This record gives sequence, C-alpha cells and structure tokens, in this order.
Amino acid sequence: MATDTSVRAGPEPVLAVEDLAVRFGGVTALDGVTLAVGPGEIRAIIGPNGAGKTTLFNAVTGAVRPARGRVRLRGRDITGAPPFRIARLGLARTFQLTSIFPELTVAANAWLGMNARTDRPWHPFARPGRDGAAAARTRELLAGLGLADRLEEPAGDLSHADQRVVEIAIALSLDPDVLLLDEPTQGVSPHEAGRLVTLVAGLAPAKTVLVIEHNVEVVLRLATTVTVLDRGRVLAEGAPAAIMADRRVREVYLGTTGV
Amino acid sequence: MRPGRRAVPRLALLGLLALAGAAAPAGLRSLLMVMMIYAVFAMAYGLLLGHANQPSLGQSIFFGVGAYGFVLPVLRLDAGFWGALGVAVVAGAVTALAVGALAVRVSEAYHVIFTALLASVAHLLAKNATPLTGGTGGLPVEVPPLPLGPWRLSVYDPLTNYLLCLAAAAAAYLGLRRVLAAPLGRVWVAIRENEHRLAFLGYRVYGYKLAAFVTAGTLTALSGALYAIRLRYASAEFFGFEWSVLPFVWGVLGGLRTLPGPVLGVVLFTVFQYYVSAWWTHYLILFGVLIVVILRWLPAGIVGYLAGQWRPTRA
Repeated sequence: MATDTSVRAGPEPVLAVEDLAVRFGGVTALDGVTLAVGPGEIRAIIGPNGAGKTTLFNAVTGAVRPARGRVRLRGRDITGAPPFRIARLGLARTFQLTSIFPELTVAANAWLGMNARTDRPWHPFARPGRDGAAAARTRELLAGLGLADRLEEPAGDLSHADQRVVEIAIALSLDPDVLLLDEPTQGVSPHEAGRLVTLVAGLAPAKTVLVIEHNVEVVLRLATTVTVLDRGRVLAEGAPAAIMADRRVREVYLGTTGV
Repeated sequence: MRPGRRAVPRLALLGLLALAGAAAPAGLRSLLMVMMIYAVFAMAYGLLLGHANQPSLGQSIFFGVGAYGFVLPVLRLDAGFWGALGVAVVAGAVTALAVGALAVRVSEAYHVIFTALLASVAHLLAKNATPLTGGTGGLPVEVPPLPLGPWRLSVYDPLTNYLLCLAAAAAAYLGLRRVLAAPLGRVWVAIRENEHRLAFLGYRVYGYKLAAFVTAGTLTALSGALYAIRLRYASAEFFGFEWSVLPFVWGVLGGLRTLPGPVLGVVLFTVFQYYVSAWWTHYLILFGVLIVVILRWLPAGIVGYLAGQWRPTRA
C-alpha cells in the first residue's frame, strides 16, 4: 500500500478505522480497511463504483454491523453502536440520495438536529417556537448556507441543488465534530456544484470532514488527503496531487470510470 | 400573545357546545355526545397514523379495554366513578405499551396485519370469556355517582353526561394540540416524513413511535370508557373489527394530518349514518364509495384539502 505515513504522525486522529470488514451474505463489501482522519482534515474517499465507499460510511455510522474491525471516534470505540447513539456522540452524515423531510419547512428540517442534542428532545409540552435562541441559531445556520430566504418553504419544494444543501444543513444542525458527506454534488449542475464545494471547504478546520466524491477537480480543490478504495480495500492514500498521478490509481479509478 | 388571542374563539366554541347541550332537543344532544366520544377516538388515530405514521388496524383492542376497564371495576370492585375511569385509562395505556412494544417494531403492511390479528384474537377472547365479559350479550352496569368538588353529579342526567363528554373531547383536543406543537409532536411528524434519516440525527425512533402508540391507545381507552358510560353497558362487540375500521374512515374522510380533520370526519360520518341509515339499511355501501372517491381525489382528506388551498404544500 502506498500509504503516506506523515498523516499518521500528526495529532491524535478524530476518527480511526481499524481493519474494518463488512460482508453481505457471501459478498465482501469491505475487506480490512484502515484509515485515520486527523482533526480539521478534509478527507476525500474515492474509488470506482462498488469499491465500498458508502459501505464504509454505513459501517462507521452504525447503519451496518461490521464483521470485523474497530471504529473509534476520538478514541472511543463505537463499533456496532446504533446510529442514534453514534450521532449523539457528534458524528453526522449525509446521504447520496437526498434524504430530507420534504413536507417540513427548511427551518424545521434544520431544527431536528439541534433538538436532538438538547436534554429533552422528547419534551411533550415545551413550545419550540418560543425558544428564541434556537430559532436564531437555525436562521444563522441556514443563512450561512444561503437559504436565509427559504426558511418557511417546504424543503421538498426547493430545487435539487438547494435540497442537497438542506441535506447538509440537517447534518450540520447536529453540530457534529465529524461530518461524513456522501457525494454532496450528486446530480447537481457544474455551476451549482461550485457553491456546494465552497460550502464544504468552509466547514474545515472547525469540523473534520470525510467526503465521497467522484469529480476529480472537486477532490483536488477540497481534500487535504485522499484515500482510494478499490474492491473493499485501501488501494492508496496520500496528498491529492500525488494520488492523481499514481499509476495504479489511474488504472482502477480514472481508467474505469472515465471521469 | 397568539395563544391568548386564540383562547377567545376556543372558549366561545366550548360555551356554544355546552349551551347546545342544555338547549338542544334530546335527539340532537345524544348525537352530539356520540360525536364527542368518537372525536377523542378519531383524534387519537390521527395522531397515530397521520402524524407518527403507524397504520394500526387494531384500535378496537383499546376501545374494548377502556369500556371494560370502566365497567368491571364498578361491577366487581364496587369502584367509584373516578376510580373506574382511572382504571380504564391506565388499562388502555398498559395494553398499548404491551401491544406497541411488538407492533411498533414492524412497519407499514406488517403493522396493519399484526394489529388486526391481535384485535381479532382479543375479540374472540372477549366473546368466549363469558363469565368475565358477558360475551356478546354484554354486561349492563349501574354507573356510580360522579363526585366533583362539593357536588355529586349523575350521568343519568343527560346534560351531565353530555358535559362530561364535552370536557373529555376539549381536553383531548387542547392536550394533543399542545403535544403536537412541542418537540415530541414535531419529531412524530419527522418520523412520518423520513423515519430512516431521523435515526442518523440522534433519535431513538422506536421510543418515539411507542410513545405515539401508547398516547393513542390511552385516549382510545378513554373513548371506550365514555362509550360504556353513555350506554351503561359493555359487550364483547366493543372489540369488534368495525371499531378498528371506523377511526380509519373518520381520518381518511376529514384528513389525518390535522387535529380538526378526524373530528370533521366523525361529524360527517355520524350525520350520514344517522340520516341515511333511516331510509336505506345498506347505507355503508354508499359510504364506501365516498371513501374511495376521497382517497382518489382528496388524499389529504377534506380538512387537508382546504388547508392546502390556503397554504399550498406539496402533496
């Protein structure tokens, strides 16, 4: 493996994955993946279709149970914990296929994560509308994402690109330390993708970001480090420019997908 | 403040309904009273299906448990009015907790089948446990006096019975309104909208769904108890399938996603039942056609459709 060891020598990793394996019946989707992501890093995860990128996110967030290996968040073992518990520990994710709350307003979408981290997210009688501080934080979050004037619209009424932003806003409303973005620019026109890339770039170093991305230009612009997955294994890892120049990476990734 | 402004029309409506109970002829008062009992049931179902997305077809369980929960303590334990009503409500909550603990785990179609099966088992058991339930023949009961502060009222006075049902319906409406505006209610709606995503936002969805199931079951039991109080009677037929279908019909008719929707459904259905059944025994066939028409052209129900006219949202 062409692993850049300088990454490991840095500060204590925020997210550490050790020898992670996931099997679906007889199919091995992940086969011993190890990676460590440092604080404030933007880590791009690339690889051909079926390489195990989304499966890696699913295993880290508790959506699937790994057959082998460990996942640590700030040193704490979260392997096999249910998704809601992992989310409460400050790890949020987005989905490749937009997964928002379509009939709720944009503001209500972004309220959910904030409410989740309060003491009593199940409060049966409190009036959330009365909490000026929470409303202000919601507005601030959405204004920062360029949705200031869409607050009261049903999220499902927005354009696809804006829904991709809501997708990220929902995850950000949890105020996570670690954010996993699964193809944030999926299905978005190049022009609007630029806005999303700027948005993601601005999340670090306050947050540690892992992003699955197909677009090479986006990867080069965003990532501090790139991890290449192929057939469930880490094929290469290193600085973006070096990875894009790597012959094997070009063969399996750039060659096969033709991006 | 907004709630202050809203309190005036609400109090006016409450006063009007109370006055109607005093002034209306006996037939109309009785009809209004049934509507109020059904309204509690219907709003509970609107919460369960329209907000927390659980298509239960077994609500008759809680209706029957509520009815017997009131009648049996009076007959067997010589319980007072409030004691028996308390038993009925708590029995509904406990039963809903037990049923929900399993039913909530299975989704959509399986939820329908599971709850419907349990309800038919409950119906069968109630029919056969004649010594306890009186079977299909049922159990008549003498409803004890209703102590309220310095007064001892009696539900044998039709106005008292009417006001009791009005109080229950108003309390259920205002209580549910409050809960649906609170974090709990908003999370329920989020479950309906996208249950899968919610887990990745730190919500233990199972607990929230169970809370909805228990809340609905408890209110349904209250409705069953009021129904038994009105008839001074409970029978195994309170567990019958129609009591699981009715809340669905009310909800679909008026609209499940609002609180007034199921209540409007109750009003329309009850009036329809009352007047049309007088001249045609098979009136339910007509109603079935109406339901199909609504499902096809007004999937959000009548109130949902009207609300959509004012504030367009995506269907």
